[in-house]
Amino acid sequence: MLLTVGKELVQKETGRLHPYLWYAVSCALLLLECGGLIAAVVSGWHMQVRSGWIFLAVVSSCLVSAGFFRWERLEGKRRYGVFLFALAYITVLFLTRDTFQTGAGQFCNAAVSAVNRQYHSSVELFAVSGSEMTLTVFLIELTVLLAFLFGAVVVWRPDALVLGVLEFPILAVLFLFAGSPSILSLFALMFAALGVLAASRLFRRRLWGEAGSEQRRRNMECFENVQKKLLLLVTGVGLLLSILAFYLVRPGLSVQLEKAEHAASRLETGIVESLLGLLPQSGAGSILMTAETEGRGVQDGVLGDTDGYAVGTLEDLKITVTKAPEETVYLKGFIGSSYGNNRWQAPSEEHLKSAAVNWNIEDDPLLYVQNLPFLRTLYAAESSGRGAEGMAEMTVERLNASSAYTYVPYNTYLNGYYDITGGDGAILGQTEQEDIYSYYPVSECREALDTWNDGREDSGVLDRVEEAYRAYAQQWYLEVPDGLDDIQKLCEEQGFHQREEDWREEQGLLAGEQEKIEDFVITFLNENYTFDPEAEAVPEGEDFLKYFLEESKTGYSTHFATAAVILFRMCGVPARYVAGYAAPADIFTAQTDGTYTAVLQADNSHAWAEIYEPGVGWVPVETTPGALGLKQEVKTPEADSGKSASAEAGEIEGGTGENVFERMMAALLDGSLGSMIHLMETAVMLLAVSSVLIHRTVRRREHLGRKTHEGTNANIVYIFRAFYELLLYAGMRQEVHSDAPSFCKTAAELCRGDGKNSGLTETEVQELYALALRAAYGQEECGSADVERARQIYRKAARVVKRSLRPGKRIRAVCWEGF
Amino acid sequence: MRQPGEGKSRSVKSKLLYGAVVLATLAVSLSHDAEFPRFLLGFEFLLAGALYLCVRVMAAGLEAQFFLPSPAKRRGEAFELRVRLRNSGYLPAAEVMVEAFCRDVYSGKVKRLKAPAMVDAGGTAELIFRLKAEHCGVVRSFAGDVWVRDYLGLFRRRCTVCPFEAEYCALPDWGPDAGSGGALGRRSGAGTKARGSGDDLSEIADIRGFREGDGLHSIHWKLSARFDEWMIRIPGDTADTEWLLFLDLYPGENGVSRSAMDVFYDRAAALSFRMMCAGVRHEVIWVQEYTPVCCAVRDEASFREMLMTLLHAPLCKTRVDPAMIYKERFWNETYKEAGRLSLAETQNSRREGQETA
Repeated sequence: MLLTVGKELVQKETGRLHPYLWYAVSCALLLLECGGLIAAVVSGWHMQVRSGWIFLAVVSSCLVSAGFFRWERLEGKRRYGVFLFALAYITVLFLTRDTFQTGAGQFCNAAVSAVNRQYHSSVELFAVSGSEMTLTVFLIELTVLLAFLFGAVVVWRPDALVLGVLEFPILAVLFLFAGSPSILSLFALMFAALGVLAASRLFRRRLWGEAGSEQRRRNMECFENVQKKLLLLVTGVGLLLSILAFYLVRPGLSVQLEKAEHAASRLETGIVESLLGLLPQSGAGSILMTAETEGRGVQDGVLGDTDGYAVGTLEDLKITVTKAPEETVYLKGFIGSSYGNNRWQAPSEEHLKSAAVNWNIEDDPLLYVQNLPFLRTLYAAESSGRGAEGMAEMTVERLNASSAYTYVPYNTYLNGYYDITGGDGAILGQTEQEDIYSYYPVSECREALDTWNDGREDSGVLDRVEEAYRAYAQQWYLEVPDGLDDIQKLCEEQGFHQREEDWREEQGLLAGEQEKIEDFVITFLNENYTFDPEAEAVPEGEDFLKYFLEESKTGYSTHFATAAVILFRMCGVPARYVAGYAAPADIFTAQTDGTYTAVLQADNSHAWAEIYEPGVGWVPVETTPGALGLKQEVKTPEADSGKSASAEAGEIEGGTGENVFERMMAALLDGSLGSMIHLMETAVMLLAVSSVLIHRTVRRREHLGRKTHEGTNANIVYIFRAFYELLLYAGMRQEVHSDAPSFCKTAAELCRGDGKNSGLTETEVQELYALALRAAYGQEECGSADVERARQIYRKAARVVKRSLRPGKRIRAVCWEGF
Repeated sequence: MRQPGEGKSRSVKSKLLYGAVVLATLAVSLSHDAEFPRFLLGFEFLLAGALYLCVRVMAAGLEAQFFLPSPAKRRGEAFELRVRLRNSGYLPAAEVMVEAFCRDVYSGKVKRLKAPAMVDAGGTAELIFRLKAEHCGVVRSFAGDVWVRDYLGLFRRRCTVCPFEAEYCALPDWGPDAGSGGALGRRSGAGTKARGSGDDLSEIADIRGFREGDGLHSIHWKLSARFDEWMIRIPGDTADTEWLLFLDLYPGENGVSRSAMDVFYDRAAALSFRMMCAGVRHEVIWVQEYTPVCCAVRDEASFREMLMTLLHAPLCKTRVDPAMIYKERFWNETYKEAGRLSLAETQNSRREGQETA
């Protein structure tokens, strides 16, 4: 029966419009959006551009764009403006076509380079030879177009959906193409998205009346007011929430997320594996695509080239042991002997073979040396009557790990099937690995052999070979690279540079000394260097080790293992670099058949140092803090005497020349999330202080009748109003109106003052009231002397009232209310 | 009148969208051990909480008041239902969803009206629903819920709504008002010099101010010019005889269509209006629940009052004999029957007309 003819929204009362403030807010929003996107692209793909020019282009384009879409005079004529813009843009593109093309090529090259860097791919770059300026010009032209497009959806007709459609593909491409945008740009985009989303929800022009009508004008006014307030609110609250989120929520979330990470990684693995199952796997044909993860750059001795690409958390190895491990199980892959040219070289087969000629070994000397710890432990255990008690069995099944090596545990027995590369290094890989090893856990082996070494009277063949191999290790695994004089000096200063005879004669003393060396190396690395799984790549031309030890001081396991090996060697302990897998004891899960299983993922790939322990053999030493949850295994003994390693390291650094302010600024602007939050804290504090100050100033100006653009009468009324508010603040009842007969008397009582300070008399209150009446209802304009007199009375009253207030209320009266 | 679930759909959509964003951030946080996704996740949680607080604060400061400016208009004329929204809070209300309901008393059908609005902090806005009644009858309006949403549309909360229930009458169409001027002229009798309205004060029983719905013919032009505001004259009784107009509201055995009812009401109104314009004192009589209802028509106001009472009257369940009523109630010589209108006959004549066509 009823038909809806129409709906309308009419604004009866709305706040005052400040067109310039609104314009500033629009510009800020557009700047956040446009600047954030450009900054994300530039920082994400590490583009070498002239940032100043880009910044200038972004700011000017946003100002022009916001003005174009904001200017009321262009209402109905914007289509001509758009046409002119398109024409001008095409003309500029035509005139700068060569620069544009070169810039576009450079732009694509930056993206491809990022992909190559991240995924270790070798996608060919475009053959363009442009300078920094050509890319800058290209980006400026892009910025102008973006500012214009975003202006339409941010300022003219705020629409979060259209903005998403415009922005999402750019960001998706950026992230897919290995972009890593700066935190600042991400924050800018986050705030802009919030602002536009909030603004677009109230944009409903259909209800606002006919174009050009008063109703439309009022609605637009209200819309702009609301939007302006919303954006200010979003900024303020966003800043505050960011700080709270960083300090309060993030730490708690991290703890919870770490708990859930294991389950999530399993799910992710499942998904990735299912996806990989879809890949073509035709060995007979030309296509053979399988996933083979190599872990974080620890697959071989190559260093400095950041990380092999790990497919998420794809499963690499499956280990099954017969005894529950009580320590981290290390599976050796690559073994490095000498360092140079940013890589570790495998040990020399020739050297070992020629040395082994004198060891009187009947079997294959290479395998014999590998099996020495196992055989000696077995012999020692049998001699002590323990038999095979400490021995365990381990099955290692290769799932997606690199097939270059056969991953074996320490102190295992290897039969003739295995081929050892480099004589004293890694075991050559097999097409498929599902091997069963008998082995002794490191602690078991050490314990048995220590007992054996202490108790034996005569040396057997195995012991003699071990002694010979020890000498070989002393000869070949103490080499250190040149150019590390400061570190070398530091190690020498420690005083545990062992004499050669110590090795042969003072084994007990040596063992103690070796522990001290271990402590020193671990403490030194732990206190002076930071673990970061995403450490930046070593710049071209820099030495990996030197850059880590002296420049970046941040790295992951390869950095720490390399440095540890060199430090051990500098202290006189034979050491080698090992890359493989580390399985912490707590990741093994008990199976129904009594075995314990662990599935090692790409994240478990690891690099560590191994040192030669006389009478025992090679033992792993964990020197990477925080890696794979092994931090607890890294001993960090406190320096009990003498100079601490860190203090000495400080001495090495010696006079970097940075002052506190520079350090503070560097910490603030290092582009990390923490620095952003610090910036926000500063901004919030500044905002809070400035808003309090502005509020106080505005109120005080009003209270004292100093509104220059208003007449004297209005100012007197303001002063009287302030006087009335002051009385209310002092405790006068709301019911006492200014026209009430008792008003003057009540006011005088409240402003009476104490004995020391004379307050306001009733006559003075009456005088002020009379002035206010004259100003409000009188025909003539009051003089400036009247304003001054009213001000005088008000000040006197304010002084007396403030003194009578409690401290808290007085502070509020002065700082906030402006009395 | 609230229809649960309907208003929630948008809120649910927004919540789902926000939930998807949170889940995506969670997935990224779990798969990438980076600080920013975790921070972002924390920010999203806090933002949701802040928005909830925000919507509570907004709802506390917002008040809605419904009103119907004109209670009766002719069928087909647009009328308004207004909702005044006052925001006394500090936060601007960017999205206020206003609901109202209109129920046709005759058919019982409910129309739901819904529109969004925005109100600045400390401001007032009016949302106007413009409606048109297709048929004569009574429409009852109710205030629905007024919801305010947060700035991302995640949460909504009900605001204070002043109680409101009002009736609107869609009056029948009694023809052009301008025609009544001629009727007035004729009323004075043949041979009499035609006078302009308001020339002869002896005809006028009373003078009053203009009210919405008063016809042009009732305006006392001279007095209006003198007082600079519209003055309405109420004609005095010039005849001794009271004329009666009988309306039979029995719809017949087969019922009656709304359009037939419209025609019936139009005819009755037109007849009464013409009589009124001609200065004929008359009463319109119909039977409501076996009791005759008499409405005297003297002037524009009483004419309107009669129409509104008529529209409120339910249709009769049984046929009524007007002769009987006349005999029982109006036997006095003062009364004379002016005519009879039957709803059932109107329906039949319409049906016949349609068949002929």
